[in-house]
Amino acid sequence: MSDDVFEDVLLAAQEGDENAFAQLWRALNPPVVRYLRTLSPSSASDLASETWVQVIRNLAKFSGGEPAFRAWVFTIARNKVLDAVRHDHRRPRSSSDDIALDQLPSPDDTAQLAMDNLSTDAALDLIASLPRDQAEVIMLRVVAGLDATAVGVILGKSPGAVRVAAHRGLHRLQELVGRPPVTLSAQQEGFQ
Amino acid sequence: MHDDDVWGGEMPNLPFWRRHNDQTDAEQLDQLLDAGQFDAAANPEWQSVSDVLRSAAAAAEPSELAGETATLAAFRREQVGIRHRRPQPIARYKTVIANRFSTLLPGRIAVGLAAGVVTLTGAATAAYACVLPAPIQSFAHTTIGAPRPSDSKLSVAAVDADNWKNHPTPSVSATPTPTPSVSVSAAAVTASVTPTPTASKSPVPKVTEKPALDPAQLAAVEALVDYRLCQSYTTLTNLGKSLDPKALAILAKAAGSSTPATIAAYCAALPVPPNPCLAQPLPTASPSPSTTPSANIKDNDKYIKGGDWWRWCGICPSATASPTPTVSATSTATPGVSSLHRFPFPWFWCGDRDPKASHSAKPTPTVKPTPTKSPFPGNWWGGGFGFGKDGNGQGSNGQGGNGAGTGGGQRDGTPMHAVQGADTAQHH
Repeated sequence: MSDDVFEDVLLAAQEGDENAFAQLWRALNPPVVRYLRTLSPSSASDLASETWVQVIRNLAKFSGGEPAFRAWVFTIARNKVLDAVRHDHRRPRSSSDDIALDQLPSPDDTAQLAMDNLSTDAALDLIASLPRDQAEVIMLRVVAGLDATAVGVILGKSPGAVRVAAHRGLHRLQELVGRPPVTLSAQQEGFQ
Repeated sequence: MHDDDVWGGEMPNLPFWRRHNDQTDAEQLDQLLDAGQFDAAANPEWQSVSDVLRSAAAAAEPSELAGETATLAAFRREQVGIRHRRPQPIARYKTVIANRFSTLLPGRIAVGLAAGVVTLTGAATAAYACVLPAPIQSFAHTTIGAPRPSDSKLSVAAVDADNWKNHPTPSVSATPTPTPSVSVSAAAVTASVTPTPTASKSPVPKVTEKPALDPAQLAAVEALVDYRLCQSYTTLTNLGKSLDPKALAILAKAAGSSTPATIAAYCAALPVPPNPCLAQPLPTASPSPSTTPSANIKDNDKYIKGGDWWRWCGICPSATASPTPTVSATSTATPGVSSLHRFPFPWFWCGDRDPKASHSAKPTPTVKPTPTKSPFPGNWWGGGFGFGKDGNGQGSNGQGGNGAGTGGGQRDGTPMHAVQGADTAQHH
C-alpha cells in the first residue's frame, strides 16, 4: 500500500469508514497474529483482538504514514503481550502453555517439523523457538516489515543492538535447521 | 557456537583471529532480513533460513482473517461512541462561549458583580455603623479602621479637627484624683478626669443587635468615612506622602475635585461626624487645663514631620502619672522619620485622636517604661486606632501604676511610648 493510498485509507478509517478500516485490518492482522504467535502462542488470537480494539479506540488520534502506523500497531500488540505476561506472573497457572516464551525449551522436533512441512505455522514455530529477543527482532524485521530503527523504538534498543540480535537469531535459526540449504531445498522439492 | 558466544562480525577490531567472511556474512544476514534482497543462489548456506523467513512472511491464511467480522463490529460500536463524544470544532466552541458569555454578562454576571459590590460595600458600611457582630467588627476595626465594637465611650466626635490643628503642641494632663475612673470628653477637645466613674459605665447598646441602618446612621457612616479620609489625606500631606489612589479618588469625588486645594478646603470644612457606634451621645466633659507637655514628648515630636500626628494617630507618648502634675513622658527612644516612611498603609489612619486630649491618670508613682524586647510589644495590634480606649490614650489598664496606658494600647499594662506606638502603626 503506497503512502498516498494509505493516507486516504487511514483518513477514511478515522472518519468512520468501515471498509477503509477493513483494508487496514486485512493488511496488518496476519503479521500481527504471527508476531503474537511467536511471543504468546496460546493466546495470540485473543491478544490480536485486544490489539485491534486498542487500535480502534485510538485510531482518531493517530497521525503518520504507513511505517509509523505499522510500528504503532505492533507496539500496541507488544504491550498487550507484556500485559498478559505480567498478568500471568501475578496469577500463575499450572498450564505449561502460559509459561513465558523465553522460558520455554526449544522443541527437539521443531527442525524436523520444519523440514517435513515448511508451512507458515512451522516457520513461525521455528522462529518462536529462538530466544525471545531474537525471535521478536526477526519477526518485526521480516514479518512486520519494519526497519532496524523502528524495531529499536518498539523494543527500546538501539538499531545496532537490533541488528546484532537479528544476526544472532539467524545464526541460531541456521543451526536449528541443521541441514545444508541444498538438502533442504531438495527435500522440499521431494515433498512437493 | 553457543548462545553466549559472539560471532566475529560483532567484534571486528579485535586483534586476534576472527572468522573469515564475517563482514560478508553480516551483509548476507541483512539481506535476509530485508525481504526480496537475498540472493539464494549466491549464498546457498543461508538458503534454508531464507525459506523459513519467506514462509513466516507468506501471504495471509484464511484463519488469520477470520476475525474480521468481530473486529468491524467493534469498530462500528466504537464509531458510535466517538460520534457521541466527538469534540466540537474550536470555532464552534468559540461561538458558543461568546454567545453564552454575551448572554450571561448582562444578566447573571452583572447581577453577581453587583451583588458582590453591594455585599462588600454593605459590609464596610455595616462595619462603620457597628452593626456587625463583635468579632467581625473587631476585624473591621483592625483592617479598615471601623469603630471598635465595644468602645462606646470614645468617639470620633471627641475630635475637633480644627482644634487639633490649632493646638499642635501635645497636652498631657495628669490631674490628681483619688478615683481611677477616666472619662474622655466627647465634644470638648480635652480629656479630663471626672470624679465619678459613671461616664465610663454609660449604657451602651449591643451593637450586634442592631438589625439595620437607619438613614441618619447611614449618613453618619458616610460622614465618618469622609472625615477619616480627610484626616489621612491631611496627615500624609504633611508627611510629604500621598494618599492611596483609591482613597484619594473617593475623597476627590466627595470633594468635587482632585486638586489639593479643593480637597484641603473640603476637609477643612468637613464637620466632625458622630460616632455611629454610639447610640447615645457621649458624655461631655469640661475642658481641663492642660499641663505643660513634657520635654520628652517635645523631643519626640521634633523628629516627626507633620507636627502632632501621633495624637490623632493614637500613637501617644507615654504619660506617666505622678502625684504631682508633672507629666513624665517616658519616651526615651526617638522615632526616626524612617519609621514613618515604613508605614505600610499610607491611607490607613490610626485613629481620631483628640489633639487636646489630655492624659489623665490617677496619682500613682511614676513608673518607668519597661523596655520591650519583642518587636510587637504587648498587644501590638490593638492600639492606636483612635476609637478604642487605648487609641485615645486612655487605656484602662494604664490607670494604674504602670504608666498611663497611652495610645499604644497595651493590654498587659506595659507602658508604651510613642516609639512603640509608631512601631505599632508600622505593623499595621
